[in-house]
Amino acid sequence: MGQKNKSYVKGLLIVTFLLFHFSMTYFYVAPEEFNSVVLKNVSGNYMKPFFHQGWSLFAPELPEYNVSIAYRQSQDRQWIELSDYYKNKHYSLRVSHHGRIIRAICNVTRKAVWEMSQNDPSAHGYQDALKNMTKSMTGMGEDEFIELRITMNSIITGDEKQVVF
Amino acid sequence: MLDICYGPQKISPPLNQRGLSNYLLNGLDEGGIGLAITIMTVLVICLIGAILTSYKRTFTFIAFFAAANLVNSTYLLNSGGHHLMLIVLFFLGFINERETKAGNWSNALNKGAVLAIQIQVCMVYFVSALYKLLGDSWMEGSAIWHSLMLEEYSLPIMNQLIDESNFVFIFMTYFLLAFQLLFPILIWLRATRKWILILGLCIHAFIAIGLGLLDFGLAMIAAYAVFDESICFKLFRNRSC
Repeated sequence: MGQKNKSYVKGLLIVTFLLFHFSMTYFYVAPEEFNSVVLKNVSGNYMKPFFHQGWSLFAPELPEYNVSIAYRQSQDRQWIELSDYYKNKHYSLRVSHHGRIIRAICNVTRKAVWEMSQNDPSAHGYQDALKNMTKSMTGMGEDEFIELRITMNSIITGDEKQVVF
Repeated sequence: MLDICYGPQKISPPLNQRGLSNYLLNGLDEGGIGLAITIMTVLVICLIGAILTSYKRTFTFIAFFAAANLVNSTYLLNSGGHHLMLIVLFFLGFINERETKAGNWSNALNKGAVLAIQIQVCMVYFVSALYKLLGDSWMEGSAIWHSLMLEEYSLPIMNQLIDESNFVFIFMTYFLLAFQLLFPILIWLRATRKWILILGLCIHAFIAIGLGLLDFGLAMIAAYAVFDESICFKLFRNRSC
């Protein structure tokens, strides 16, 4: 009987921990409409960095445009396409690392476009990150001049728009 | 790729976070190809040690810290698959399948860890479904078409073949939503488990190759192993911890 009680205690302790852990997980990852902002912030103290996670890819909404970027090292030079190279490699070598790179490029590019749409001159974190990414991928020096051109193609209307920074 | 991930100008800028846990899990924040290769070597050795030796928990936890350092340094390149594998690896660190004597703590930890991984997989589907319920494109049935129109998640031949009004893609959108909502329930029923796992394997194989999310697709397929009946039903038949 004593042994059985000890077993129940062990089980209860483990179940209690799992209840706590997955409650914290839910509050950390669930959307705000099904959550509490206070609990979301509190759960972050427990979840980060060991259990950091996010499950909102393609949701609630998907991006409305495709993006591609080109770069040049001075204003009198030709634009060099960057994302198209990784995109084509990803199409032909499906199990390669090119998929990770092109998704990273597109994610940061869309965030940079959003940042520019805020019209806040002091907000340029994503634009800087995109420039640093481009320099990293092309082997350019950290302090070298670079200009980027983002081309956006709307999935819905087919319209094309470009921005340069 | 090593240069892009761990070189002096790595693609993911340093986060410069403080705290003991960040020092343990973000040792490659500033990069370092030599250090990255060392950590990769440690990871492989520990994974082999965890499989072959009796010090499974120790080796698995060291492997977890090694993998976390490698993954966290490339945060801009990561997907949910990387996070899932880290969490699964963490809980695997509590499992030693050679210590299954009923009634002791080791066996209790084994069962608790298996249950934790199973619940984590269910959580992935459930939370993802909650986000989808908030999206107009998911409720209208156009989300699958929309995702296949994104060039980094598709193939050129898909862009040419698909049509927004195609009934197949509308059906696939609602089917995927239903799958994610029902998985956390149907996976626990013996009658439906096999079929839900087979469906899931097909979905994640498509995600891996069709959408190009190889790491996420493979991570979910690997995580499905925890629902293997020989593990799960042995777990709940032997009620004592």
